[in-house]
Amino acid sequence: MKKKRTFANRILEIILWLFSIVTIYPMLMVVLTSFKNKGEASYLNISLPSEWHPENYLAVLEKDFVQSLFNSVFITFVSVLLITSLSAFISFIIARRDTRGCRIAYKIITLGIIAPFTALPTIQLLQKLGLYGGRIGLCLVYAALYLPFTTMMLSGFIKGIPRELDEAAVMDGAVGWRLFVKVVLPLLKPALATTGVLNFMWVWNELQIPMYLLNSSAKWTLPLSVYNFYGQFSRSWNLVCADVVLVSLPVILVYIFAQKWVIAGMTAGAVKG
Amino acid sequence: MKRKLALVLTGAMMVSTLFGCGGGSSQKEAGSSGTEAGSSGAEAAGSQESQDSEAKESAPSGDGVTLTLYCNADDLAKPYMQKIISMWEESSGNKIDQQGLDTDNAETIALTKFTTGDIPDLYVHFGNSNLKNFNPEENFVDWTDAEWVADIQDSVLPQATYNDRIIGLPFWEASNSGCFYNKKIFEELEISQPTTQAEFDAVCDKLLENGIQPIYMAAADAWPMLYQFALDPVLEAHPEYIEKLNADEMNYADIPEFKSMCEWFRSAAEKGYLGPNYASDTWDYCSEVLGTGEAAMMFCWDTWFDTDYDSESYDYTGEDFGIMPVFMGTCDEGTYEGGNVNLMMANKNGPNVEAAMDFINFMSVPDNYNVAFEGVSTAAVFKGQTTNVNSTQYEENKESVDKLIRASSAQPKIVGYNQNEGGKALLQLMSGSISVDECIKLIDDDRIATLKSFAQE
Amino acid sequence: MNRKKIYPLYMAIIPAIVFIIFFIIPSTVGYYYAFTNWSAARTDHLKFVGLENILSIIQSAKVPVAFANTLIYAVVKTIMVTLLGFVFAYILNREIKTRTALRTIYFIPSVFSCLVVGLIFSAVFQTRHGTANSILNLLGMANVQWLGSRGTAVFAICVAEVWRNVGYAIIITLAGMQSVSSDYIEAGMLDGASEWQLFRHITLPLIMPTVNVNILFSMIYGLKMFDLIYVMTGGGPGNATESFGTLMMNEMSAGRYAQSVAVNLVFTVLLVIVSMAYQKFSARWETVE
Repeated sequence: MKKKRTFANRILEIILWLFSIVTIYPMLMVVLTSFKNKGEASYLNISLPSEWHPENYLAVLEKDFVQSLFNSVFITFVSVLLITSLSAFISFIIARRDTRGCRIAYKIITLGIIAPFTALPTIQLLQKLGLYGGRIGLCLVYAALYLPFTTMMLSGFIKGIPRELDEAAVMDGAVGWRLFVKVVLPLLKPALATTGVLNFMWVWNELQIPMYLLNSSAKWTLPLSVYNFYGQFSRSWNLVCADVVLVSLPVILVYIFAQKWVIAGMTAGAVKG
Repeated sequence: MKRKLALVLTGAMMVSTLFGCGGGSSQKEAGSSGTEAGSSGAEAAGSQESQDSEAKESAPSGDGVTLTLYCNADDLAKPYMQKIISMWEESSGNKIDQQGLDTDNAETIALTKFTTGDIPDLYVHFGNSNLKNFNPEENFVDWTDAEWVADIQDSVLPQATYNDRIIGLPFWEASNSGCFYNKKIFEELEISQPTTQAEFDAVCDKLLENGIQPIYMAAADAWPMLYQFALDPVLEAHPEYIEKLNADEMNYADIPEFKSMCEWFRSAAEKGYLGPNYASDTWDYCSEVLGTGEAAMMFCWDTWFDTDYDSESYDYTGEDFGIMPVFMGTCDEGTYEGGNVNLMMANKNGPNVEAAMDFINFMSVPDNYNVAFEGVSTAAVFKGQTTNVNSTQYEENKESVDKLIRASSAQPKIVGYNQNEGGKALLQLMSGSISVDECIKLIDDDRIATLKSFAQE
Repeated sequence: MNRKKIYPLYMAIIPAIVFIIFFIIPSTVGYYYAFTNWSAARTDHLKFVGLENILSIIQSAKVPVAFANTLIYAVVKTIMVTLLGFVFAYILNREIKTRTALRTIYFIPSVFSCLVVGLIFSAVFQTRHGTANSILNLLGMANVQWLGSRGTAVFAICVAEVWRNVGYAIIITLAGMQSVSSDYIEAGMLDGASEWQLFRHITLPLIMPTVNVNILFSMIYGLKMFDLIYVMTGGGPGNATESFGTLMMNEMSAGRYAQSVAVNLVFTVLLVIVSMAYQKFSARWETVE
């Protein structure tokens, strides 16, 4: 039985590696192109560059890199923190109370993923609140924008945590926040890591919303200022690719880091029935 | 509606103070807007106020001010723009906060910000009929009496004019658009420049016989089909068409030449003048297809060969291409399109209006623009412009260009003229999925929809 | 003890306020404009025009194509992403040595923005030098204009969208699988259940809520798809690959704001119907399980 399983796993592993070519090929194309000169880059294939041009990266990095990196890190960090914590609280209540009102609230939140971001009313609103143009206002908008997705995910996970665990803790006198921190939070870690990574990615990559909501380029995020520097996105593929690599790298690193959490959650934090 | 919104917002304001998230850098602004939330009508004043405090916040500690500038990111990256900005920053001690907006949506983003009262100190716009959206009379400094007006070329001045007032400085490269052809290929095949539509068609046929694609047209991107080339000569001959179209008294279907243009596109596609892949050809590949000699001609503008064409990577360099008139079935002698220029405009209600005007005046000084445009391939926009270079294409065929060049009129003057939607409809026609009449109706419906959205009641 | 005391409402107040103020209010206020004559040229003194904009949208010749395309994108994407995500997650959840590396590789495509994926795949499906055509040539077949006609262009867009989204689906499903207690599985194994039986009776029912969320998201984001199409074909050739999202964008960039909001409104109603129907359906499904 066990042997058969290992053998099957080995076969599946090989299949997965073969299939990963579909994923790796375009990525390799981007990385290689980022080192080519303009002419070669226009072909966008996976041939090796005839001459390596690491200076493409310098060209992309030149302008205000440190400032916009800081902005990106700040905005993404605050937003993800807000999104994740606010969603966790509301999901906890919605999934556990399970009253009619909660189910209606859940429906409304679901509809929230359907409604799109509308720039004009949002700007007017932020102006009234005195938050327009600043980073905090942007973070709050992100928090509200991605709350539906995260809430739906997390309440799904919380529903999967047996209610008996809560009951045991309630016996010990833990209700509300304490119950959440003591029982639910530890079990929610893999889910939090997962949604956190997804939110991190979306916020990090967003190009349009910060352009609408920030009012000085000193507050711009990395994708924005890098994009702005050479503007012509469609012509110099080598620079485009260098930009893509630079902007995507932090997210990949975050994922690799967060993956440890996801795995740790799997072995240690598995729900005991 | 507005009052209700204000009520809700006042409630929201009170709530927002409860959870203290509005702290940090925005405290100052929160204070100023708190007073305003009660009165529902004070929208414009309020945003002005918060903008003021923002400007103060972002200004450097020295004496200089920081001006905000909104511009399409592509345009802002032009070397002469960067040059003139850094020259002024150095000489005045002020700074310009350059906000290059996402190229595809630059106008939408800028307009959204204008609508909410967030108007930058400086704004760059292609002065076409869309400029009306930005309410120039109320928002921008009127330059009609400025000294530099006398220094602008007469052919350019109309583009800087809005309702008979000069509203911005045309600081841009002026290009000559036409049909560009590979001189070496023409020489080898002993083809001479065509002077009529029939001769042009004969040239295409001869190229086809020799296995060369006559015209590269990036029809997949829609806009490079540049159908204004066909309309400009018609509108020059019948200026009343523009008025009638804009007054909704006339349709495209009433213009016989519009039909000839559609037919030309269809027959060019059918005869193979545009090659086998026009439906998926994109602008990105222009350099390559021309450079390898796969195609011999393209509709384009002369400065493109200087700024964008990749001379290093391919067999043919930019100098191997010459300019000749465009023939699109509507004008037998052919036509060239004159330059379209970007305008630099100043916010007349802004807190830094003096500095902004100083910048524009600085740009208009011959010694300054001549440094910025040194070696740039363009026709002169200013009378005192000496350091620019005319394109080789223009120099070689000056006589023909000067004779047949027409100021761009379809694009800037027809309200609702849309390069993209028009191109898309023409592509459907070329692929045979719709008829000429259906194509005209598609283009016209789109124009009328925009025209209606403009109509003031 | 009373549920209301154990799970006090005040924990949900702050999230609810943020959500209502920064999202619900601006989004719903926006819809009001669908009934006005708002345009780029007219931002003050708006007039109420009733259903005029909505009717003109519904009657527009472009809508049937966009409607069909929107459904195709959403359905193809949902099926492919859910299926592939599930299969890969199931395999990656097993004891495979190089699991971590594989997981990372499969996830990376999700890191790229739509813009980037669009650029990559427009290069892959280019008629000249595109990877897709190079493969065809290797197999001795002639070039295809992938982005030059409706069928192939819709296919290419779906491929790009699936490529970008499988990574999400994998990690979401994986997270769901990991919250399934290993005790259940071990107990099942002790009872001598086969792998299929374990899967069918333990894993599948327990992760169904996660899969459902996954399907719903794929569906909704599939229906909302727009940037990818915008970058790859711009809705072309002609209007062949247009979706509701690109229609909205076209109206917007032509300065016809009210019409753009009207398209949006029609479309939102459609989305609400689809998602409600799905939730009803999936709720029944879960109780059956």
